[in-house]
Amino acid sequence: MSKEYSLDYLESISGGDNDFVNDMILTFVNSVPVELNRIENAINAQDWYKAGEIAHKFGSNLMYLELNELKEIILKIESFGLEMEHTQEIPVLFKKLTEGCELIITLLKRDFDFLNQ
Amino acid sequence: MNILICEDDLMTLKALEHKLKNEGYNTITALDGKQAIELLNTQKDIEMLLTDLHMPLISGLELITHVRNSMKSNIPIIMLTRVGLEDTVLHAFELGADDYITKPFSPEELSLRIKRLLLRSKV
Repeated sequence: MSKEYSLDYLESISGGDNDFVNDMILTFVNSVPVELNRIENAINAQDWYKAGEIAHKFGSNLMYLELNELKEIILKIESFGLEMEHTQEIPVLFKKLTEGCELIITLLKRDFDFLNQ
Repeated sequence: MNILICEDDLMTLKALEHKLKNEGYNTITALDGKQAIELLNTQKDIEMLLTDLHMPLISGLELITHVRNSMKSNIPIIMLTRVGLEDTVLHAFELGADDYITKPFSPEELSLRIKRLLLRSKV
């Protein structure tokens, strides 16, 4: 198991149901590209507030897998976007977020065969 | 015991639904405030509402206002929110919410808050 992500939280609410944990992992893998695309569109339109709003929603998903470094990045995008401050940093943060999420998805696909079917 | 969960984030919705079902509750789900109002109007045996605050169409704050003012319902309401949104939480309390939990939720805390609120609502 990789230490880049953790399933401890999901397992704590699973009640021993592995199907639930797998479903949550699959939902994460499917939803991350969609949410990243929405943030990217908002950034391209320089709609920083919208980027912050989407980041606000997306943040919870990162927390379920205890992705603490990525959580800090998304919180900054949310805060900078919603408060319309340091907006020039948002594209840089988004690049780091995207790279981090892509790495996590790669690791999940390495660790869980069902994601590759 | 039927609990309506109103949440547009799929992972949070699935996590809550799974945890509450394991605790023996029946769950009904809505992806936005509009759906939640429709369910509350048609399904009269809903005994508790868990609602996110930031949702499309009708927000959690609007939903709470509708439940308390238009429906005149005393159904227990627990808000789902993120850490750091104290102003929004205070506003929701003013509108009639009973309690709140932060996301991602603590399973033990969720369980205790629901039980406590149900006990209080039956007194």
